[in-house]
Amino acid sequence: MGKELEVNIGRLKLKNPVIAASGTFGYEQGYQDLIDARELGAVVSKSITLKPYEGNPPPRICETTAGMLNSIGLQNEGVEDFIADKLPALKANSLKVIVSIAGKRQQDYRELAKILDKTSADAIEVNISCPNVEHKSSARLFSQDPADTASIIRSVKRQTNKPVIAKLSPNITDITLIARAAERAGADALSMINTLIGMDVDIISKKPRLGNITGGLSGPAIKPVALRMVWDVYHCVKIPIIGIGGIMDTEDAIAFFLCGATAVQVGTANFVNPHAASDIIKGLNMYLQKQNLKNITGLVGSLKV
Amino acid sequence: MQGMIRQKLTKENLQMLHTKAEILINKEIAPAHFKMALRLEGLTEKIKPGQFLHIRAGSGYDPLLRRPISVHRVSSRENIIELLYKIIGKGTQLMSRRSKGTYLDILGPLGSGFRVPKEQTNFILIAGGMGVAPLAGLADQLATYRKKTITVILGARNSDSIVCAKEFQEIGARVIIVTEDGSKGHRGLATTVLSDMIEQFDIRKTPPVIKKKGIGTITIGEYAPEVGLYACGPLGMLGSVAKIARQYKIQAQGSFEERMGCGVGACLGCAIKTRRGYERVCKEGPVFDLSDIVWD
Repeated sequence: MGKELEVNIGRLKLKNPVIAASGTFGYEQGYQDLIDARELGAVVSKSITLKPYEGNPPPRICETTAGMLNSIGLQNEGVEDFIADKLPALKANSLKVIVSIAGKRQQDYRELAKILDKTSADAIEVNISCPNVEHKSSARLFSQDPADTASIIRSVKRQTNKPVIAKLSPNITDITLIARAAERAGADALSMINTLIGMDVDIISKKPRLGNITGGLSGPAIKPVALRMVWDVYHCVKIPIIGIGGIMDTEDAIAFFLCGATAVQVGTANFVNPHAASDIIKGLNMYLQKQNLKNITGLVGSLKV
Repeated sequence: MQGMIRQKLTKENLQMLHTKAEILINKEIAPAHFKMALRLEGLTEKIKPGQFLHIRAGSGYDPLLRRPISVHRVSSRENIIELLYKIIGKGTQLMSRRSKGTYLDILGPLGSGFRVPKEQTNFILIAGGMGVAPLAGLADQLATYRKKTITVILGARNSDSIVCAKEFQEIGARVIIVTEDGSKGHRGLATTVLSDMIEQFDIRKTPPVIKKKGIGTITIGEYAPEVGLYACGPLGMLGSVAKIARQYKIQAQGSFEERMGCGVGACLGCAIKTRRGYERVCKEGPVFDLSDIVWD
């Protein structure tokens, strides 16, 4: 394989544009036991916070039609443990590691960025869109407010020279406002979309099917929503977009490139087919050959309308 | 550091497969209860009782996720894995329709399995409904021990759901059947029989229960390291077993069920509350020491 699949996410150079999404691949004993993570363009870590998070009460997962709801609640051991234990393991078996950070307060992000700047992390994905934790701002999620988005991204950028990727929420009226705010604040790229807030109900027990009542919807069911948002944002920002949302196979990934994504993240699909990401990489190579394209970047935003 | 991790990975690599396994048998052995036999080359000897396979029941997106199904019994010689399952939803419904000769997408073996301490010789296995599935594999392992007594309490709603009594008898275990409606064996709950056996071993009149050796040798409050209690079944039953085990100071392990995403420890979806915090049913479990579980 040559350089057909190489892409740049700002200064982050990837061998191919297929990335394992946050919280879906594991640190060292997840799918790494099965798949050589070096095949993937990058792996995004599960979101880490300053202090350990216990996570939400079970059940944390519930299957829906062509999708799933999750309410994990950012369970993690905190940044200290991450740097000492998880990051070296991830680095040892991946090409590039994008570290996802999350917090309840704006200053959490700043501190996390400062700490991570001195590590081997290749980039930072700023998760301002996790639907499973509450914070004290007027908006439920930081990425529901352009000012919050901008101030978090700006403060992260001040702390680090690593590429900074803003992960956006679809749970908003006009995502382009948030995308532009992130870009103006200096984000090197956008990851979109995070999960859609949803819930499901067990009519026999008359209880919600998630312990936390609501959760984030992912999987093939959300692909059309994600595609539309990538397409809209592609036309109003200059920074690269990493498309996320229900990408199950090569065809799905190509649709995202056509709508303006420079790279894609594969999340829920890993649970269904642990080889989904590596299958997509192979599929993209074949597609480029068939289409006589020299590089995947030629596809980006080339939707005929 | 790097070398260490690679070594670990290589070792782990040999223990998990994502592959297609040929379905040799898939038949209904009791109403809504199915036994499936899969041929799986080169993996069967590595499977520990209590581990599970993460199965893609169909090929579409509804249901989307895999289904964790415990390994029932294994024949390493023939490279055969048996699964025992009951139709409870879309996934198991699809599984039941798969025909012999087709291939099933499996990931596994996954999870921790039962851990049998050396000092144990008196084994009590207690199953609630389909909880019998992994306990059969455990009994097969225990049967190979030189010194052992195996007692199996099979509990189910009714006689239709008592599915493996013969298999346990064949390996020399004494089997006590309990049904909620009394349609077979004792009437009541498996856990009631368990505590009766421990506390009042000479009261019950049915021959298999009145034994001077084995379970009857336990006296209340005395720590009995030779006794091992192994349970699988609904959460309520596991809670009762945990209570009994605590009361009589018996070491007890239970195999738990939870909705799963990845099955390999990545997504943290199948959390269970333990004394150490939330742990993963798919990775640290599905078998836990019952004394470690925090019951709400």
